[in-house]
Amino acid sequence: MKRSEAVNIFAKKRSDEIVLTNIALVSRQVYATCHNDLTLYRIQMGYPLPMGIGLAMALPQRKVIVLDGDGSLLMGLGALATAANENPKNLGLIVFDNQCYDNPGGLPSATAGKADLAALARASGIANTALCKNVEEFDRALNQALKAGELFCIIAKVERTAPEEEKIPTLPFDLTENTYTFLRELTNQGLIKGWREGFSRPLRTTAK
Amino acid sequence: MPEEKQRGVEMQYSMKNARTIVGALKAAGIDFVATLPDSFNTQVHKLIREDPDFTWVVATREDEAMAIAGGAFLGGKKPCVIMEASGYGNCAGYLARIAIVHHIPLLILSSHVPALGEMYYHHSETRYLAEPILKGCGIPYCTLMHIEDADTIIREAQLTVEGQKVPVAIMIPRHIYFEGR
Repeated sequence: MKRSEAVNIFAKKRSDEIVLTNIALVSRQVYATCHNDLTLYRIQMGYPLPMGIGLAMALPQRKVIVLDGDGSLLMGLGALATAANENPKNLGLIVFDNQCYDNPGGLPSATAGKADLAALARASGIANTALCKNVEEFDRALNQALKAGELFCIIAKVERTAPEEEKIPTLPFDLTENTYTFLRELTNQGLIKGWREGFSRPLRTTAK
Repeated sequence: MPEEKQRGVEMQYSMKNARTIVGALKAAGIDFVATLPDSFNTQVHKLIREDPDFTWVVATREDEAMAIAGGAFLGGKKPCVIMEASGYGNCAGYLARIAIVHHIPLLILSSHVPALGEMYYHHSETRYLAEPILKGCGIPYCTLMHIEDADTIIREAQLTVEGQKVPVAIMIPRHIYFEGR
């Protein structure tokens, strides 16, 4: 399965979920296929999942989907255990596992060897974990996970990025701008209180 | 003088000071705490854990705690990370690449700080990384030397967090947490 095929499947199923992506090419694929302003892009390796945990805990009324890669998740494996213990039912983790660090030349990741991310997720306590090796399995697992209403993890085994996949344009905004747009949209949808200049509570100044 | 006394093992946690710190966090609006085990903050942890006004998460690493807090901030919470200063060494990447670039702020309370009074060499070297990392990231920080200043410093720190959208660190030395020698 190509990662772009898996992302396309996800894109067709995306509705009002908040989506966090890792720094890899998946961010550009998501932008190209299912962008909306509830998407935070290019989160540094190791941090998409813990940021998803915090966001899901803060906004239990809205589903949060983290799109990560094998290299990024391997940098922060402890977050699997934290996610399992906190068990936010509105959090989902989808890992596109291409068994390498694709961007910097394809150095093999640990999943090219003996590491098994699905087993690690289950052993961390995420019972609702699926391992998908083709498009049909991914489609089925994603359908089930989105309906289940509980913490889930999908490990999607994908091929290395093909040259045509690398032609997707870079994001047309920087990451600070992305954060502010994201917060504005959360505000517009009534999920957080108004995003405003300065301190979030009005200060009244009086003199004695 | 007995060695135990010299080494400070007669000291006791100051529950009064722990309550002051937690009260100052609440007064500043903090409602979400991500943390890690920390001998100095034991009583602060206990008070926060027992208080339903706080959402409480135990992370596996300091940078993971910061990322959880960052996510909580995006979701409208007012988060604080409570950790040992020895953990800043894990956090430089998060602070520079997420907190600064993505402009996602948080308040940090750290113990075992580069103030005087650290009794163990195995704590001392890692905590000396704290200030260079904070300086390198351009993150404001200060040391709480007197518990009487806790309300003011924590309130002003959180005003800075929310007003400037930057992380702010408050370092709390040993003598604030303990009574006696």
